[in-house]
Amino acid sequence: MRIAIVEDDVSQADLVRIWLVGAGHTCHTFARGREFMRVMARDSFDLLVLDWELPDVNGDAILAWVRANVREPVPVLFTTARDAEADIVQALKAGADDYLVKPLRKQELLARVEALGRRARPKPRVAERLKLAEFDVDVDRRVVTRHGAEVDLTQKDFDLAVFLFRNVGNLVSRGHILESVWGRTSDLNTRTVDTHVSRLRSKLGLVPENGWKLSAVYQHGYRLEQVTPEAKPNGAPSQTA
Amino acid sequence: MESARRTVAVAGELRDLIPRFLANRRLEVAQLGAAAARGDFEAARRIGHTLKGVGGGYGFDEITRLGAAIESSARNGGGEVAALARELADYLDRVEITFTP
Repeated sequence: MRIAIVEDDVSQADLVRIWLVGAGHTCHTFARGREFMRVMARDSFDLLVLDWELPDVNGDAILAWVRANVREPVPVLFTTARDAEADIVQALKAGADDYLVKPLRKQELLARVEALGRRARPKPRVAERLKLAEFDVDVDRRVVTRHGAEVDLTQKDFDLAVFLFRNVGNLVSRGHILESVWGRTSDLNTRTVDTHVSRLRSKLGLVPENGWKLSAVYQHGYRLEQVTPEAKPNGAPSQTA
Repeated sequence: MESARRTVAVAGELRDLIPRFLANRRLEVAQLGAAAARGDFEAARRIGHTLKGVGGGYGFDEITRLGAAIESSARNGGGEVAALARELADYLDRVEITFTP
């Protein structure tokens, strides 16, 4: 998962980052709440790990901001050295999905992160297959068919298609796409994303006339949506596995 | 007489983080002393809170214990903050680290 860590203590941030990266996640750390909110206004993450006591904006205020301003329901894990029952209740009532008391324990942190990820993006127990309108995406066989005909896609086109179909209706940043499809260590820039998105739009016919809209959102990223014949947004379609 | 060493077992994956971790704790000892001297116990409370939260994650349970004591003292007039800061400094001087695989 692509995870944002909002934590002002550098040692604590180092610790969480090394554990999460070791478990295969990519992490972005923010020492200040305002810095995080500025980035979050244009970026997207799969999960947020929020410290409560920050020097500029408290974690509960950041959480309120996220819930009010971020359309996608991103899971939030609160971490704090506050251990009173009232504090835990306050954080959960404010919209946190889970709560961990510091000092953190590695295996517990990783297990809770995995659990939040599972709840946010449930994995199918059988071979994954996405069926969305005229598209049938066989993730295991790496085949996309449209109206029953196989679409010729490169490996990266396929990965990008799967990522976008899994996030139908969600606004995803170019950085998020780049890291999810090309990997964290990639030295490519976000123009690569623009090029591939444009090509994928053409190859899959993701245009309003076909009931789809793959739009660039200024200073943020992309959103794939199903649209009605009148070309109005219609929200996320159902997915099957 | 030389003070007794205190040995702490730290996960090997944290080896590269330990120098910065210890440097930050020594910096906080100095900040605690300064905060106590000027009677700024809110600053001392915040530092204690940080110490309480970070120590045990690295394996330094004693730092978490001292941090909790500093936070508690700072909330209650701060009478023991300076002494606890000295205790933390002494601990940092004596601690010996072994890395586990």
